[in-house]
Amino acid sequence: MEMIKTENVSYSYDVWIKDVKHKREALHGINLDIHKGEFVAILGANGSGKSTLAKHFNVLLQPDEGRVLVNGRSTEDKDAVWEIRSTVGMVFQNPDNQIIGSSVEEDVAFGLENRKVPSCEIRSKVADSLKAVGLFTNRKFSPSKLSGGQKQRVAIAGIIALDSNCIVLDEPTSMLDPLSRKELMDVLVKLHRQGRTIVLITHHTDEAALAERIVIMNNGNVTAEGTPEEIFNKPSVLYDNGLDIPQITELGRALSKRGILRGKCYLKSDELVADVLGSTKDRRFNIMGEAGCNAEDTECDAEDDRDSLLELRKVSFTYGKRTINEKKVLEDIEVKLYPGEFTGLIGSSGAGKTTLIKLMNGLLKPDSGKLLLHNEVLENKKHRLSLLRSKVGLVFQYPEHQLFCKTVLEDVVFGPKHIGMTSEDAEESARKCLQLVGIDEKYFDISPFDLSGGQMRRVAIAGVLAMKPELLILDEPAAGLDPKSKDQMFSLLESLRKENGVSILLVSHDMEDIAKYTDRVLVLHDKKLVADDTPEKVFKHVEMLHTFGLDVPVVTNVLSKLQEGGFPVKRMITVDAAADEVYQVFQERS
Amino acid sequence: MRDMTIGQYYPVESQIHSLDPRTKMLGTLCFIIATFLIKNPLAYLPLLGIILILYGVSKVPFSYFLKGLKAIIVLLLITFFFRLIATPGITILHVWIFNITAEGLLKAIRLTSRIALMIIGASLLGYTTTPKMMADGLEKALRPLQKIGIPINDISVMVMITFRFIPVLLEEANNLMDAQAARGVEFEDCSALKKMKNILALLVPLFLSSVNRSAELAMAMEARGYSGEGENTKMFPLEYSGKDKVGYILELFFILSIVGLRIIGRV
Repeated sequence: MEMIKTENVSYSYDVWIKDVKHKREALHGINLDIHKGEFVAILGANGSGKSTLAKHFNVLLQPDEGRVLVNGRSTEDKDAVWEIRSTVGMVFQNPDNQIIGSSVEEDVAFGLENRKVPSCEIRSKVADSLKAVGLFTNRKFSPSKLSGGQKQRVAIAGIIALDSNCIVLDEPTSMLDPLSRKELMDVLVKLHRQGRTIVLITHHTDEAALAERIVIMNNGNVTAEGTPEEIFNKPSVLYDNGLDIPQITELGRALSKRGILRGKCYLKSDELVADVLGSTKDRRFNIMGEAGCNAEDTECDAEDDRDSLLELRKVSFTYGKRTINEKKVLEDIEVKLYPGEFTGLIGSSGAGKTTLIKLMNGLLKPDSGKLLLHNEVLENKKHRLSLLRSKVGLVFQYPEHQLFCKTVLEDVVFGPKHIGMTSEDAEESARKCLQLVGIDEKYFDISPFDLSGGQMRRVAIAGVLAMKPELLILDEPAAGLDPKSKDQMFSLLESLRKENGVSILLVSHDMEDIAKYTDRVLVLHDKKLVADDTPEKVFKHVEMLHTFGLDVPVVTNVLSKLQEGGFPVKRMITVDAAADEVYQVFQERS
Repeated sequence: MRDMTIGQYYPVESQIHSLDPRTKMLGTLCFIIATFLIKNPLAYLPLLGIILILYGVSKVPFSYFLKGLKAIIVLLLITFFFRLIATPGITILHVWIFNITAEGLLKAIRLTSRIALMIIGASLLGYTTTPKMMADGLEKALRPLQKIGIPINDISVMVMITFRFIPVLLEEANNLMDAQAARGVEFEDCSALKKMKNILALLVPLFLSSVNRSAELAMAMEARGYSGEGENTKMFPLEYSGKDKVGYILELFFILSIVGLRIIGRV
């Protein structure tokens, strides 16, 4: 029987453009069945209508045309609202905006209290559901003490507590780091095994790979439907809908093309590793125990004599000095950044990444140590610091939230004006930078809040670029962007570096992005800079990075598993390099 | 602005923590009334003694006691100073252009002691009572008002959400300050007028995000069956225990003795 059934559902939003009301169609006649106990992923780019559809499942929206049935009852039936909301629970994107209670257990109890469940029953249900998501020991915690992933699990516990059989999650991982993402996905898989219906709305194809069925949406229509294998075997379908394919599938395809694998669609790295190792046995592969991975790392780094752009010498920083909350965050950091470089900065949550970038831009002053700009020591004097701020641009996470001016152009002019450029210079710089980030002139005089999320982010970046920085630091610039917008973001950064000579420092949790775009990686762990090398060399240390709570790119993980299985490959970091490496070892050895 | 932890719940287990919030709220009220009843500056000392004992029983560290005072030190000093110089009466000291009178000294001590004691007492309530308990206590104590049409249920939910979002908005304000500072805005070391102007760069985004947040929160609450109607059940319903009886008796004794002493003019 269908848990959720939509019949020809259409919906449109009212949007205001220059004080005139317009209709923007979000859904065009959607027909979709979700069966009891199924795990369905609804996959689509930003603005494809997937979140709008999800809100219909929980009676947060009513269709303009057509109808939605939950357990056979129409969402238009006013008497059924309570029943439907008890059956279908919903987890939203922003973990902070859905927690009502000021402690974990209070929040989980919220729905039960609204349903007037007796106290003792509330207590036992809250305890059970917190155990199910692995947060029972944290039940007295305040939400502000939890990580984003833990908050999302609290939201899930609140739904399980109501005995809801169906959980709809609207991009639950888009604001989470990889570790929290994994924990959340594990919980979902577990709940699905216990017989619950899971509907996961996402634009991450690797998450969708865990589902039983994938529904792809684009422009308010369902454009494709099938098992993950069926969908990922047709990369063109994904690309046409503004999506990408999981890296593991891509690697499988690359190896099949080289004749090593047999064209199967791979969704899990273990399967792929087993098949590669299996095919080596067919060929009576001569297994070599030693995998030469550390041998070449011993080469001595030659002293770099290029002129550095920014240098940190023995920089340390402590928060809350001389208070009870005193906490050392960085210790003796030594690093030189050079013109025209694309550097990555990685480290687990709380390793001090944010503090480090704030030091680099003068927002924080080091306790000890020196900052050198173009080999000149910067004293902690005011005009020196404002010089640093103009040379080092800092773009925080979700920079679109900092916009506040009446028009796009005014907002971009704001920064350069504040660091002392004349109005004409500031405006010229602003216009140039807006064009650089791909904002058309026709948008210059409209309010930034009328733009799409991705456009707003580019305006915010232009606002920092207009100050003409030589080094641009970006904290997770691709967070929450769908694959296509993400590609655009990175090609923008690439062109800034190549055509305008801006150095870039990218802070990211996404190891695939770091591997793909940077030419140098800094690793922060426990207050110290523990590695500074090319991504190829850094990611070879899979085990070390794991102990730091960091991951490596998917392909590197596969290659290191192959090594463990006795297949002597080097640890590469991109799909093509990895496929070539496996192919080469095959050729040499067989 | 960047560090606001005064009056935030301090999670330990103690006799005071386990009291019913209504008992604690009445106690705080009694204490505050007492500070107003007392006129004799020396009589504030036993009051300070009582609150120190209560802090000891509550196991809230002494540094938290000082923290509450530190936050209002400027206010206390200003109050003290102006009371001291701006009260007419018999001059006891003349410094430069300031006339210090005996009445002024008395009033200054009285007023600063009152403010300080009130803050210390109210912070103890905050340190030992979670916002949820406070909201529940308020709801139950004010329940009779529901009958005359005051929406006590909604008010208690509002109180809870306010407490819940203070740290969230504070963090957001801090992030915004950093982001705008990275765009060249000065929030410290600049003239007051400029500071006011720069605050606009914080207020607009903060306001927008709060509106978005509340819209999303309302949706999440609705999705979880919140209707705002009728009386909900509670995970931990408030119930008086033996301790609360003792608490009420002590509070009654305390306030009656203060009133009594006031009537015979001893405090």
